[in-house]
Amino acid sequence: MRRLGAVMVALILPIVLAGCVAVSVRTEQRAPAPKAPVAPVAPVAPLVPVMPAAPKDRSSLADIQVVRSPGGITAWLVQEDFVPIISMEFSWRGGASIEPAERRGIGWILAYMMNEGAGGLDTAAYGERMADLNMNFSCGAWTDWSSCGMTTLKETSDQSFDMLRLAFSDLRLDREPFERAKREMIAGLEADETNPKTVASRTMTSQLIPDHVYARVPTTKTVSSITRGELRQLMAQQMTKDKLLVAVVGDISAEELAPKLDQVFGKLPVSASMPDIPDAVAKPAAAQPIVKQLPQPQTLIMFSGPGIRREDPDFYAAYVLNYILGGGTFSSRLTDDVREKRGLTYGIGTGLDIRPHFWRWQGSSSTMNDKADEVVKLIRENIGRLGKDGPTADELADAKAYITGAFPLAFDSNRKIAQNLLGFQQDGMPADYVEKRNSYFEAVTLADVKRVAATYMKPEAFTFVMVGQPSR
Amino acid sequence: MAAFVVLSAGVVLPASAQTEPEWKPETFRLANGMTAVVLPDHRAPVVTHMIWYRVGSADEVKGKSGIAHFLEHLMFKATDQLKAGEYSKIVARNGGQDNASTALDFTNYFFRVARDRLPQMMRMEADRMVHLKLSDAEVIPELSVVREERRQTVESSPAAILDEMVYAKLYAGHPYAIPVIGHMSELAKLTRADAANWYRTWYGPENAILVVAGDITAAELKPLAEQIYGVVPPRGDLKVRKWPDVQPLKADVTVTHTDPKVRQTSWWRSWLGVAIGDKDVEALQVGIEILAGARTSRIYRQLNERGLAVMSHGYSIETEARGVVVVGADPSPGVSVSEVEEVAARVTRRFLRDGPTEDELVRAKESIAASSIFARDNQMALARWYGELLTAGQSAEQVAGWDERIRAVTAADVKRVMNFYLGANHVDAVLLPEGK
Repeated sequence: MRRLGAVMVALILPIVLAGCVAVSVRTEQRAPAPKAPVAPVAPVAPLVPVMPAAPKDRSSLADIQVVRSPGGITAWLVQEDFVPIISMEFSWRGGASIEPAERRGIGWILAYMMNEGAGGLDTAAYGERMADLNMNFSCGAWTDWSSCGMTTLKETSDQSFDMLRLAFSDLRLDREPFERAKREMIAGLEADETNPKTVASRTMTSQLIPDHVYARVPTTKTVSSITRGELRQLMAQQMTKDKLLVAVVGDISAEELAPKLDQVFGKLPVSASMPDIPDAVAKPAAAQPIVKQLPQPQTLIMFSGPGIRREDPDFYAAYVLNYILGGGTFSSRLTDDVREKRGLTYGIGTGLDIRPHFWRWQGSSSTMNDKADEVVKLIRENIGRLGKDGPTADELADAKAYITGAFPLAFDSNRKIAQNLLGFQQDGMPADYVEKRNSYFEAVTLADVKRVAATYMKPEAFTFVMVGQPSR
Repeated sequence: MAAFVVLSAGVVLPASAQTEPEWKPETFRLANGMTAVVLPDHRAPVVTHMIWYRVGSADEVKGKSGIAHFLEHLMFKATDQLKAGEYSKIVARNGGQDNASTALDFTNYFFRVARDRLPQMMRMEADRMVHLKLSDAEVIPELSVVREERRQTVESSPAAILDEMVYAKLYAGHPYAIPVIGHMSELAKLTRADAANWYRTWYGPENAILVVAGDITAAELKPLAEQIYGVVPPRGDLKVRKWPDVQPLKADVTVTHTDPKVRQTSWWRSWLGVAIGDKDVEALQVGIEILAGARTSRIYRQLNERGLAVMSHGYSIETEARGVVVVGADPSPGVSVSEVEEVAARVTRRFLRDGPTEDELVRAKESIAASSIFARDNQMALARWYGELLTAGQSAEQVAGWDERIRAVTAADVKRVMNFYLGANHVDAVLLPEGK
């Protein structure tokens, strides 16, 4: 089932497995941070058996080929035949940020329609054909990106690529799926009104940057007014060759892929003009937490302070510092203090929320209503302490060890590799970033993280939002 | 980059691929009773290591609900060799990720790490298999963490509250009626002694299954496992699971939850389903996919495409005792629960009467079976799938043969099995906004 794309980084997501029942988990999973194993630790007993070296040479995590089609479409490809499947991830810059104010939500509707019928296939026929081919194809809309993903078996990949060609050259936009998309989106908007995470992130955004496009949200009115003609216009403006980024991983060679790229995307317009989006400038931090009432036994606390651009030379130091503050799942100052020591929460975490026009240092936690103030105080104290004294050399070493050592964990599946390669392209990284990335983290010094901590870890610069029934 | 794949509602648990003759799981057994499965995947120099204990919340005794999951949290505290919290910190320092989960049937611990770090991590895992050392200084704050977890995942979620009510009715008289995370009133009273007792009753090598997916072979893993896990002496007196039979419902039941946070009315119907390993597993998976699981399903066509519902779903969850089959929908604005329910019931009755068409049958079987190939793309999903089924008594060969069994399902099988399960009494769940 497609749902509205989460706009903010999802920080507190406990995992529930297949079905809504059976499992409760010790903590949330967070996007793993990446780096090379440093100090091996032998905690229990002396090393007895040693793992033999890996059987094949793996000097590289992903052997990336940059494929350029005859028609000029570029894709990053990793050829990998271990499983007879192909994963393709692609996106265009734009997303919700380019939507007209009075048509907010149109990007999501367009994304919904992308697999609802094309060419001679109506929604039922297109859906059946996808099922017959065992292919998955769907799109989503985010604040700054429109993205799609496709997976197919190798043996039916010719037909699957042709299904994409149909969608991108001859989309139908039939009335029934169009009305269904609107209905589902409006139902989702209503559910958002009591979703604590959505309420918190919207409250935060409208507090910090009330006039920016990022603060505009879809409403029943904007969604209801969308027409199919407007979807076509948006498609022509958004899905152009010059903005297209593609990553492919699987059982396909560069020679096989190149013509497929032209087949799928060849009919797209070369380019289109895009609205100019200004960078957002945040209002000064609110002195007191902003409270939104929601009838539940817990308060969700969200906090946001000045962050750092991806292009900033201090990005790597900030990333390391964030791991120390609240990025490590079971190893961070906030987890140690708020969860392990005091038992005040099931999860607390921070992250760098970096968008093209707004970049923040942000975090969240949940605690019972009458402890909300105490948790806010502890968060402020921890930020302040880190800003004043900076991290220790041990903390820095541990953070770098995790960030570099866990990087290979992001490369153990075709789908994950494709998603990561697309992410690197969105960040504007060159294809050799995968090889160099760990060295950037290795190069971070204690002086770097202390400098970054002194600049950013200022409790008074953070705005807090509380959603629930905090006792004040 | 999330390490978990949450399997989409529906049936389709991932499987191994019979179509790739060169790929197959390898298994071996240690002298102390521990079983091991290796799921090789040499694409990245990474392994996913899991220990599955054959104990879950369904093994809890009256008044101690939540103890299985609480102990899972406490397994990250001190042992003879490690200080509290050190386990996870050492995993992280080695570039690894770890976590654990508890369910009705099992408790699972995992880490993902570069392959050259595997032996060190395994040594810590073996240590906490029998040398956990609990103290009140750690137990008391952790109990409060677990209570926050319940507040976050259940009490702040109207659908989760209703789900607990459904299970209480569907499994009345059976331990599946107890919520995995426990009742708040009982959680609050759990003690260090309860946890220690649970650990001593259920944890030991003879009640554990090892699953390692990733860049390793059985020839590489076996000597490691023998030296690290094989030397842990069996407890010898661990409890053996014994549950009463799940009793069929005597009548249809409706449970309703009204909550000020609900904006969207939801309805779902649950029937008792099928146990892992039952001969009906595959036919039921195929049948529910055709009825309500897929984008092309009959219910989706009649409810979503006709504007009666904004969401619909159908799936079968298999567990060690009888599982659950669910069909449900969220009515569109202006449409009542009873209208949606009626249409769903009519579509279901017709399906039970006529069975699937040939087209539907072939499409469902092929797409479910193909998921066994896609599943091999993800170590975590694959290890989870094998671990869960092995913990319930299946062999790796049985798991690997799943897609063949799916392909062997006939229209007559689907009709018979759907009639048997969906013809029984059910529990209806209705989630309502306040003031409706």
